[in-house]
Amino acid sequence: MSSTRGSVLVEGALLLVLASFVIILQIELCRRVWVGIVVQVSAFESVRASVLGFSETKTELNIASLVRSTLPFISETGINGLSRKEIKISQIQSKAVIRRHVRYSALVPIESPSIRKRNFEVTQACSFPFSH
Amino acid sequence: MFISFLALAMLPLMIAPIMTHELFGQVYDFEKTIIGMDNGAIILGRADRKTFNFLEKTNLLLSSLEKFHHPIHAVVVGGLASPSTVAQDKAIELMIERVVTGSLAMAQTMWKKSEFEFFSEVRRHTSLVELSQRSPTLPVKKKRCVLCSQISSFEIRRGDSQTVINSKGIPNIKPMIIDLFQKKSEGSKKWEYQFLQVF
Repeated sequence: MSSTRGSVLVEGALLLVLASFVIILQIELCRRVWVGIVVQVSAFESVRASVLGFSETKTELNIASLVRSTLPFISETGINGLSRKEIKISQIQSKAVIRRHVRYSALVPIESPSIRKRNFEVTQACSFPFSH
Repeated sequence: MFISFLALAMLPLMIAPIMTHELFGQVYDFEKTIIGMDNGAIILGRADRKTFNFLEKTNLLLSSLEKFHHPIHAVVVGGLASPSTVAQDKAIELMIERVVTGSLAMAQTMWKKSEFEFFSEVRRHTSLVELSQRSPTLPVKKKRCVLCSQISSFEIRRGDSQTVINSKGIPNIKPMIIDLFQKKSEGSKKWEYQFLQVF
């Protein structure tokens, strides 16, 4: 009787550890997808604005407000980092490419002698064709 | 028993692709609508520019006809004209009238055709884009000559020449304005278009 109870307790504890691990992994995965989508949309918006000649300042403000409202866990430094974009205009392929990059802190920082992971980084590029 | 616990715990990970699929779907619709809107706007802007430049060319033709017409008309009005001069005056006036009527009809057709081309381009991508503000008729005013009271030129009403494109049902997409403006360079006046965004 006591050995059965002990076994159930061990399995329960293991399940608890596993379940919390899975939940953290799940949340981290969703956050990664979420950040990826928002960064991609912001790259798309800014490359479109630069090709169609919209106001760059207003677009940047618009993107910053989008990021603030959709990704509340990204710090102000991260949002400022996001507005630093890299634009590359390829004359041969007739397209403009904007690359955006964001860094956000991990839900649970991993600290071990071999691995040290506190932040995750997402880079998304979006190209926009244009004709002369 | 442990395997079943493991499978149960891993279940959310298996659901993740279904959850993210919904997000990706929304972004796909958002970007597809914007691309449809942009392509349509480019086609509409180019077509309107063509229509307005056509009217500018008509204005040049009318002003050159007026240069021939005015001296003859002055003689006719003065009462010293021979019957052949009166006939010439009438012939030029008729020609001016036909140029005005024909050009206006042509420009009106071009204005409507550009709308049709816009919608056919937009429908290739999405059905969620509409023209929320556009003059139903060509935004043109006829100007009469002070000397002979014939229609001497077309004046484009710039305020009415703006077209606003909006998306239906997607609130995050900002409306877009196609603004046509006159560019003067080396004595010639040509129409150009630019896009403005409503923030």
